[in-house]
Amino acid sequence: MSTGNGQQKNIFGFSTAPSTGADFTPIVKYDARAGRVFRVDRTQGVDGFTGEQVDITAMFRAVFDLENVEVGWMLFAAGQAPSMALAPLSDVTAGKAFPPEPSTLHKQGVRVLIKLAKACGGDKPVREIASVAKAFLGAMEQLYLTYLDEREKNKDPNGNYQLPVVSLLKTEPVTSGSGAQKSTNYRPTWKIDGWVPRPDDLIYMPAAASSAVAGAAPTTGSTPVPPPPDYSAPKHNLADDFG
Amino acid sequence: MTIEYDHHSPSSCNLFAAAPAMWVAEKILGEKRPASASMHRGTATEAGVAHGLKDLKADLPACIKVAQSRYDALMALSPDARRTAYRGDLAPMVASGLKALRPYGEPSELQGRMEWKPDELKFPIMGFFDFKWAHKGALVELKCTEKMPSKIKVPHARQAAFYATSDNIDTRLTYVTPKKCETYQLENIREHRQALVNIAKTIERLLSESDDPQYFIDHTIPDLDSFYWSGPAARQMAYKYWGV
Repeated sequence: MSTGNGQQKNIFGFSTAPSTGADFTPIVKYDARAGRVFRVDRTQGVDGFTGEQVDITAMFRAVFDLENVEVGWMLFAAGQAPSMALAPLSDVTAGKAFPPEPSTLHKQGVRVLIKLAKACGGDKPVREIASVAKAFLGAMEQLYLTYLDEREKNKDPNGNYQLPVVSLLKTEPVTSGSGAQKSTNYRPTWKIDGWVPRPDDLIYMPAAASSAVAGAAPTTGSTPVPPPPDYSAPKHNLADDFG
Repeated sequence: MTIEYDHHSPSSCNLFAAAPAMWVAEKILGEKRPASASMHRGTATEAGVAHGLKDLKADLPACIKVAQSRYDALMALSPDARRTAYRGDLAPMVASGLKALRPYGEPSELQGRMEWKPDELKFPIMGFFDFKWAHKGALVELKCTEKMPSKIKVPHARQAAFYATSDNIDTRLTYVTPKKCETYQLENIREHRQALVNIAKTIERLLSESDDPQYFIDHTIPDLDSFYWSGPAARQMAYKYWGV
């Protein structure tokens, strides 16, 4: 409920109050050139917002919402919000069309919502991780295939699918190109530590909500939708890391 | 006359974009735009739907009665000729609104107050959203209209985007007509929210140009074919201030 002064209760475990002007899904960044995982914390200073990168590589652990992976086109340009044109991976694998390429500057990428464990989550543990780096995409593909292979045998006692708890096992250098074009990136190896029910605050929201193509007038929405599902689910011990 | 403008709202920004002269009449000159039967039908329908969502066991006639009582009170002094016809719309509109939204369960919040002051604005933006289900991460704005739109209207997108506050909120517009009901999911929340800020910035630039209300009359003109100016009171206001 709103209080009398307009402040809101911390219902989701992270603030939803529109006090900052940029209170959108915070991110975790995988820097493929360094093989490091950073939590990007946005703070407001006198000159506007700045992103402080907190290295969480060593302690990285998160619930990955692999039930709702999105694939498509992304453009990360300096000084502007990311431009994404994405579709659910489940739709694409079911035969629906891959999203059209918004511009020649966009690259193919993957977006996943995650919830960081308490040890590395800061005050906003629910985040998105998205990348177009080949090193990242290859590792995500492997993780997703493992998820598909193992999710059947890791249902909860009521027969419901659970989500994997993922940590970063190691990173390995991958060199591409030659001569002046030669570059080294680091491919992560993700490891599934366990399975938990979907955390209450890990609520899937399509990136369509922020997918305006650079330069194009934003659409408003013409997709009729049914009532939303209820995400509440029983908890067990491993889930306590994300409570 | 002094100008007393100390905050924006989504509806104020949308009015400025749609009918600047009416915005001047309301916000600068302090004139009250006469509410139409259509506006009151919307307010009353929302009251009936809200009653049925707060009490999921409330039967439909009770919810309709809440809407009708609200409508009758609002329309008590209205000369609008459509009053009887629009009163008859309340029952189907409340029924279809509840049919669409009761499956969401009881809202965690109704008429929640939001306030946000971006650094780039002098004044905050304030408003109240209709319904929020925090446990489902969903927020719904209810809109009553004569004809079902095929997509979310742009002013409604700006308004709902302001209330969304986060990409993690599934923001929706439920449109109700006397015959249909449809719920659409809002897209491009950040962009519509920024559009609202851009309009507010334009308002502030305009306000900074003068402290004299006459300045704003001199720089706008009513579009008398617009529904904003269609009522007799609004028409008279246009003649009084703008001479048209």
